[in-house]
Amino acid sequence: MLGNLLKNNINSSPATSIHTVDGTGITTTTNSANVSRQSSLKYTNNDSDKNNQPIETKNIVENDNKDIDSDINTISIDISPSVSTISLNNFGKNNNRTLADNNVSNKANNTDDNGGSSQSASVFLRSLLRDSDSSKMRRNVAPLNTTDSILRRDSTRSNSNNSNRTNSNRNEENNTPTIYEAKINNVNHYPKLLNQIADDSKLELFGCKMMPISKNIENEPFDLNGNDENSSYPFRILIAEENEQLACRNNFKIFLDHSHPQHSNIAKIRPNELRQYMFCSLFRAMNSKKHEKNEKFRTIPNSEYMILTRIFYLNSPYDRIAITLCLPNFLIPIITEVWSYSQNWMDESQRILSRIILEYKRIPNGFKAKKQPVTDITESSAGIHNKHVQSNLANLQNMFVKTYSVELERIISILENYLIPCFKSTFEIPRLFLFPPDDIRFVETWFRGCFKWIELKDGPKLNLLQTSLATILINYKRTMFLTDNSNSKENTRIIVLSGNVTVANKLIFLICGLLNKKIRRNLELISHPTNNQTILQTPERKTENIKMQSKPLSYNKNSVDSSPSSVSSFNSSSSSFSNSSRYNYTRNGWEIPQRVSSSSASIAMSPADSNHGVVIQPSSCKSGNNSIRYLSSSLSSQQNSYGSWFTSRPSITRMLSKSPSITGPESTLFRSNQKGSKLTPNFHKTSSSTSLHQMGVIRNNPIPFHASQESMSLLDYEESPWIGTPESMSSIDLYHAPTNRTLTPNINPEPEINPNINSTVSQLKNVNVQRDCQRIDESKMLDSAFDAICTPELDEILIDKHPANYKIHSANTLNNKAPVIDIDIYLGKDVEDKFRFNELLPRFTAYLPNLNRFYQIQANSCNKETNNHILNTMRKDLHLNPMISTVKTLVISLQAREVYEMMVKQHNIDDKGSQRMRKIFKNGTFMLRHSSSSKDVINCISFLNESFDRVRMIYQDIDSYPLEDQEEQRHRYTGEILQIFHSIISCGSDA
Amino acid sequence: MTPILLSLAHFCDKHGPKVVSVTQVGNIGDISDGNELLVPNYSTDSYCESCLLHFPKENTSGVRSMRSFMNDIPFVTTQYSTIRYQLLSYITKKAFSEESMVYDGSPLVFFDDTRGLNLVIGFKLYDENARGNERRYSFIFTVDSKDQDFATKILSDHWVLMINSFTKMIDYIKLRHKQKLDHSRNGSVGNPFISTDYLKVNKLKTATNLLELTDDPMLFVRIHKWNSFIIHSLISTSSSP
Repeated sequence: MLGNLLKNNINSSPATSIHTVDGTGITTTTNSANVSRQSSLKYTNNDSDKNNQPIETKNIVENDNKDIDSDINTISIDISPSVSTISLNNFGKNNNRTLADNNVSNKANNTDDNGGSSQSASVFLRSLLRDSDSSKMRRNVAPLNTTDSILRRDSTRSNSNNSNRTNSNRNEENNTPTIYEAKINNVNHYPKLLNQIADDSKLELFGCKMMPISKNIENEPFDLNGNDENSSYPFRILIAEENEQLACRNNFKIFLDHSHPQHSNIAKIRPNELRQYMFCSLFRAMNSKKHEKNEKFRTIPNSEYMILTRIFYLNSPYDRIAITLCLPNFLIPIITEVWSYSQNWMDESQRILSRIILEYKRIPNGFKAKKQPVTDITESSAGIHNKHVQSNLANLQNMFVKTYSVELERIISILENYLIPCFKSTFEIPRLFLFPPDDIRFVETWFRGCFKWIELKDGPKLNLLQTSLATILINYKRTMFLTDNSNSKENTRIIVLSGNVTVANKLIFLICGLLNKKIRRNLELISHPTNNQTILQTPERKTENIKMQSKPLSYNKNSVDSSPSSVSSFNSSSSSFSNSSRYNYTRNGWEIPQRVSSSSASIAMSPADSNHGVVIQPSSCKSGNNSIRYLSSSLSSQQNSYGSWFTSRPSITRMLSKSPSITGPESTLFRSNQKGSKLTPNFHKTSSSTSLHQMGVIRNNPIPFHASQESMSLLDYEESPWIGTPESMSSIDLYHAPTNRTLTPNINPEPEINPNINSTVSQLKNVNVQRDCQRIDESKMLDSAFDAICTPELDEILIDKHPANYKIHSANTLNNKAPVIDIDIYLGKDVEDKFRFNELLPRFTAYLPNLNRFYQIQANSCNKETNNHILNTMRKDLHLNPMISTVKTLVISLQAREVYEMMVKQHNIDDKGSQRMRKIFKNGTFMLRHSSSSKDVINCISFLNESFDRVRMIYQDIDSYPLEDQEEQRHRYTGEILQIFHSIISCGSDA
Repeated sequence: MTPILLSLAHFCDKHGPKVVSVTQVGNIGDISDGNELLVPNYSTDSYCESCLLHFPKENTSGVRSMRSFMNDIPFVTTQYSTIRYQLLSYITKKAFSEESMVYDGSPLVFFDDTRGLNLVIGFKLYDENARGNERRYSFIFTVDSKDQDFATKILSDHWVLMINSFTKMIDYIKLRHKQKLDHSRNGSVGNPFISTDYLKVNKLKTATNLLELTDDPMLFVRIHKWNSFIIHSLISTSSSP
């Protein structure tokens, strides 16, 4: 048992351990990565328990090494290297080791990876204990309190965070720290993921350009516990018991009260107040005949928190035990969605608690003898406290925590490593919007996307796209929908592996275009291109807009044309502007904006920095891997080979000549290469003097936090046939409505270039779905429905003059029923069809830096551990859901140009599951010749090819017309195109 | 039968937690037109005024149920449920007296095997004739199922819809109530401080119906229509292909 191990640990090297406590203090309890390893370690220990557990709780206790990379690593929202790299690497090391080895390697890793904040299992344990001791001083307050030094440390840490932020901010926005600080709060409301995706990709994937994380918190102060995507939500666990003895004053006992972080408001709510919401009226509960477990969640009045409670009875109907989890209020909309996950945690906690509480009650006085060393350490660490003041409550709580620290810590660590990440993933990751298959704008975008893909990526013979689509249609589409259903025995996932965010997102869009099962007739009802502006505009933004409208192109002429030294004036003139439009995107996802965005201007153009050349490195550099490999993931560098990005490369000089107004001054600015390199927080600057790179930067779109897109944009620049479209030059305001293009300055409007292509990119530009990360905002629909149904005045709702409105059926003597009045609910046929409420989006998402097991479709970066990681995730799915017996993952690796399927099958519940991997596609060949479904897939591929040929012809025809006639032509072909698309998406259902 | 119920419940000064109206859904294409959901001709005398569900035209023909059809599915609103009487009384008891109910429009969700999944949103109206000068109501959404996954899926698919639809009706009721109050205040002449009940305990607590509080004789018709529409929205989108 871990307890023994800990004891040994502690006993053998007490000095070291205590030293660590002093060195790191309680900060370790907030270190999620450590806790994650801690938990995995512990799960290994609980191996012996495993066989005795009920099926539904077997899951979390699984002791596979997969636990090492718990879900906490999958939730970084930002597209940047994250902790998971570390844990992934560790995974290999820890595999198949003994417990002791595990412990050692964990400790070693902790020291290596986390430096000062390292923590071993025993340290965590002791910090928990010491904290509980210190709470002896404070009755009714969370036990895990801390000392002044920790307070200080916290504050210094947050200060340093702030200063870091401010520093990086300075690089981005040149001396506008105050604005930035204000903006931090704003940005918190929006998913970071979106910052890293180009506008047209956002439209394709999400149906809008900007969305809040949650509509509820859009306009409220909202702090996701700092700005760190790896941070957890504040939470508090309260485990308490209530005896149904009305006469007894002490009929309420707290076993555990743990808050995280310790100084948040969540810890300040009095347990007695929480008790009201946990246990409710004692009198009523006593009278209730049935003593069964029940769950509930509700808001805590006058606070920003909610509670999620399970009450269960322990042996006698008079002892009610409550497991309560307090969480921030904004999570309420997703609680029902993650209900089964929270139930898993509750089940596991209940199982642990029933055992230890019963044991504790059996030996109320004997527990002190147990686990003596633990007590020693607690005393030593809490020695500064006066121990005389102890309430019964705190006493009991401390004794209990001391005695069963391992078990309690396990409850907490499961919560931190599994449940909170689940909440966070569900809440913060934006989900794809699936366009209705009968929307011609979408269908056109989809087809043209396919053509571009074939042209740019696949070449005429590779067929990667067609094979992937056909496989999904035939083998995956049905099960993707079933997975939504809780009764499904099969879990399916589609993962696109690519080093390039943009390319991966393109493929995701093409895949998900096929996967809409729901027809939305109400796209216009949920999409409000005009209203959005007013919704999102704060008064300040309005004034900014007015400001910008008054001089739409002013700085183009004045500042960019002037010398580099005047750039600072450019920045200052646009500082208010840049506040709201921090990120500038191209309309076209695969191309480079023709303008230096305001943020990049502040980085590159500040007088001090203007001497340095800037070379953007691929994001993969950050992850410490071979960047070339990542580049190859989306490129074949051989000229004229299939899939080469270089086949259609326009000459650089041609492109330069297209945009003389910016190349002049900016290139002089950027070409002034100097030796010396400088590292900015966001970009690697090197001393490279390659003018191509410099040009790439000019064309580039340096988006903070995200280098991958830039790096690829550099290469896109090489081949992109879309350069020079006017769409690409407009910078899109991040927060404002997408349609207010006049607000955003066009540096180089050249509509005469490529009019045909211009017509191809903007089909979705007017779409602006009102939504947040999880749901579509259908409130306007609801409003109009209410108006139609309920607001008519008395006369119209039910009067004699309109006998059609109601009809009274006289008493039915046969059935002994009273007369009934039939009331007509008349909505009108078209209205009734439109009012289909369908708010929750499926768990499909775009590019994520790490595999997130809560999402069915996603794109991830690729490294050598990826397959292992996918496999572990699949096993985890299998273990966590007893209903599922098969887990399948379709992996489309753009790097290796192959498609393969991974499957883990579990024949019975104790089975670890047999795994299988089969290649479907590699190097242009379809490998699955002998499978049962292969014939269907091959047929589907050829059908896709034929459809593509036909539609390509149609669009060539349309594009051959002059711009003004295209609408008419388009209209002429609409029916045929829709029909072709419909037959494509119904391919799978026929099979 | 789809086990979805929408009820309006009331904490009566005299009778405690009581259901005022419950809307249930029958089977699609039910040849009996939701007959089993209809109630017999009960005597309204046992109900006090504040608990009573009023029907349009009830005086002339003794109507006891309201029924609507949407896509051939019958939706029936009655004073009580003939097939889930016990369930509703458990639910209202728990919502109003076991739980520490807050009448501020915030959601309370509870699940157990007896009561199924319930979403409760409470609200209160000022009424001098009620205990504490306020009348307390709540809208309750119930999925009568022991299958947690099934029940929570219905709710999670339509969480915002449910919250907003309740809120819309509550806002409407409160608006009507406020208009009524304003109207009566404007109508009363003279100084309110020298009116008879100023600083005096109103010991005469009389039961008042919601219709009276809102001054809207068709309120229950509206609630019936709205509830039917909402249930229809829930079942039509969750069963769509």
